[in-house]
Amino acid sequence: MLRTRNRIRQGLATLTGIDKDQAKQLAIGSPAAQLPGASGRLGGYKWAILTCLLATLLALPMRGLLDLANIVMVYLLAVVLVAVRFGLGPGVAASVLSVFVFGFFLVPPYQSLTVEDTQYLFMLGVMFAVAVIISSLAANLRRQVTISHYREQRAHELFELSKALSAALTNEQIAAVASHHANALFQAGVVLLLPDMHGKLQPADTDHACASISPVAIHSAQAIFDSQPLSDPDSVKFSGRVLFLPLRAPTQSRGVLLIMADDPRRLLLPEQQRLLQICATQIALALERQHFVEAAQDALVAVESERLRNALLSAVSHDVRTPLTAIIGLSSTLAERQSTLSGKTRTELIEAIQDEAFRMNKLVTNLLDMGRLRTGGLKLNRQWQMLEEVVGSALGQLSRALNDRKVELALASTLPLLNFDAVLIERLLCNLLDNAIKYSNSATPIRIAAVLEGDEVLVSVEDCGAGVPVGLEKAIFEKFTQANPESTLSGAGLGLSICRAIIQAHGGRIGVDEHYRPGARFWFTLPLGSPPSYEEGYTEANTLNRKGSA
Amino acid sequence: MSDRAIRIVIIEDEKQIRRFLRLTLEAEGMVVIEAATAKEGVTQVSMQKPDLVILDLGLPDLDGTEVIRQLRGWTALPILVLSARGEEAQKVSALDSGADDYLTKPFGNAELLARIRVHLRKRSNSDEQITEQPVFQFGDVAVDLIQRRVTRSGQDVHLTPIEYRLLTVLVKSSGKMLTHAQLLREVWGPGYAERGHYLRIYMAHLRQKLERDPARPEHILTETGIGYRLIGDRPQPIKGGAAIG
Repeated sequence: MLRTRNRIRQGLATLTGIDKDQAKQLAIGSPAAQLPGASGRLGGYKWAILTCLLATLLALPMRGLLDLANIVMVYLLAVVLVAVRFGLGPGVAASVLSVFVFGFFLVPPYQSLTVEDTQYLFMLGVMFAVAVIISSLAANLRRQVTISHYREQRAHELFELSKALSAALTNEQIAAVASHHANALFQAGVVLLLPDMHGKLQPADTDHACASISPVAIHSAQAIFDSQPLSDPDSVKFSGRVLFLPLRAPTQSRGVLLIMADDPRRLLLPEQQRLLQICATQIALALERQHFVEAAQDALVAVESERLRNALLSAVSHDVRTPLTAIIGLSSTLAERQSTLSGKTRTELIEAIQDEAFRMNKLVTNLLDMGRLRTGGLKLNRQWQMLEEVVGSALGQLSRALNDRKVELALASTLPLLNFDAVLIERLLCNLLDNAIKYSNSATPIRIAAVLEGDEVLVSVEDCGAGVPVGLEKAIFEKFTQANPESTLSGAGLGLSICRAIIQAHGGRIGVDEHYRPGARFWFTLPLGSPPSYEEGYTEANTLNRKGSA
Repeated sequence: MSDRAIRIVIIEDEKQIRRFLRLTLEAEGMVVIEAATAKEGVTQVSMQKPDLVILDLGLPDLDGTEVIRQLRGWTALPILVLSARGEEAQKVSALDSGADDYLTKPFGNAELLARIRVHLRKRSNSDEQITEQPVFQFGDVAVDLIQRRVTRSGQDVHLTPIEYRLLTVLVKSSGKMLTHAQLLREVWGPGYAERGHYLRIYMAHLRQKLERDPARPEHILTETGIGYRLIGDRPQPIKGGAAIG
């Protein structure tokens, strides 16, 4: 029944000039073109009856006035209208009804049905044919429109899929995009299986997908994934209600797409198959692109790590050897010539050994800080506290190196509590002060100032020494850069890059004032934020037990 | 002060550090007992009844904090911990578990001896009543705990109740390390562990009122990331009732 129907449809379609192949396409596949508006088939039949009656009403006044051959046209028009609008069934019904009504009301003897003239059979036959042809053509037209619309939608979906895939940056995003769009395209649940580092397939989106896949499905998918290009690349494997779509990219297979449709046969249609292949290729390409992006990033990181490691090793080698050489030299002199050296010389040697040892300690400290900054990231222990306190403790740490040098403090008295990690900011101040001490004459003063500027605090450390060479103001904050690389002052050039990392972690900025002369002015900012109030502390203070154990 | 020689147990796995400690302490006339592992150390402490314990936090067999807990289970001996630079969390944890003070490696012998002396002195004074406690002095400040009077260069200094309480706690543990948590608990109470900023503000007040240069304190010292320490002068005996200027 279906086949004859299809053949008729095909034939009629060719009637309108569509070529045979396209006509065949029209007949199969694609969702049935539902007749819009007709609430069930019954509606159409009701309208058929109504239209015939209308036609009769129109025709009756013309009875006797016009020739029958002309009156019949009214009924023909009615049949055409019904067939176009309501389809074959009502069209046929309308034509049959028309003949009877015509014969009853308009053919003498009136109000009686006598099939005298076989002409009327002919009329019935023609109207019947008209009804069939018109309704078929109309149905075809509707179907065509629906198909075009459907195709346009699919093309749009594919475009959206490509667009979304090109924007996806991670495998998870690709999986989400694939799932969402394939769902829209195929009206089916989709799961993307990607190989992990051992080549075993795992669901890419582990949230909701996992529950719905059976281990058997994964096993089959694994088998398909592993059986590489030898198998027909265009074949889509099918098992139960799950479709397995291998994702093959130019270099290798990137995974398997599982499609769980309620009506899998629909997906086996040629047009759907093509669609599936396009999707598979797109997704495979996106995965491949992602793979290579990651590989490129890893390569970059590896190169950078290597470079840093080498720089670190050479810095350590030089800067540790120098004090060690001194220590070994000085201590061996002491050891060998203890008795012959004067007390004064002995003291000098011993103090020199101490100095070198402290210098090495500082270097190791910086190296450790650097290591911690790079590997562990920086975990800040921020607390609301006074800047003055950490400045004081930094100066305390360097008391030995400062050694009676004049240090001016100009910290604004209106400074509020600031939120920072005391240990790190102390480290930063120590590094800046250390530089100031190292690069300036011990007779010159060092000044530390802090002022409020907008929503930041600006802290500066100034010295009257050699200053920073023009043009190097930004470069000195890079790792291993020193103002004068040939200089004998050691320190591996890590101090300022550590300072920068610390300040950046606090959301501040650091730099050196280019216009400050003579000497150098290093500055850094810390954001103000809103410190907690401590008024409660005051009130509670007054209500506390005043006895206080003595 | 007791008459017998001071006995110190050193629990440290590094041979060179043990040697350095021994040399320094023996030069001061102290008796040194060495232990290279936590287990050995705890045994020695229980057997030798020392006056002070020096404990390295990086021991191979047992975590330093665990050792402190074990020791604190049955002794109130002063415990001085040695720890590496940058391990503030470790130090705070050790102090909160019961250690009395710490030294950061590398340290010199002057620092070592200063710390030890403070804790040995505290130990011997703990039995004396407060009425015999002299006025506490640091710089030009004198704190009379009985009369509840604080003077600076002879002039009275007005302190709010909280400031006074804070000063009292510092004075009573003078020379000793006090963590933020300990100070907050002692001065404000147990629920104030999160109000570190109160502590900072009041310490700043004390420095402003009592230090010659509040930004570069000489007595009310900050141990960054850990807490505070008050370094005083040696206590003077009371003369009459007047505060010593």
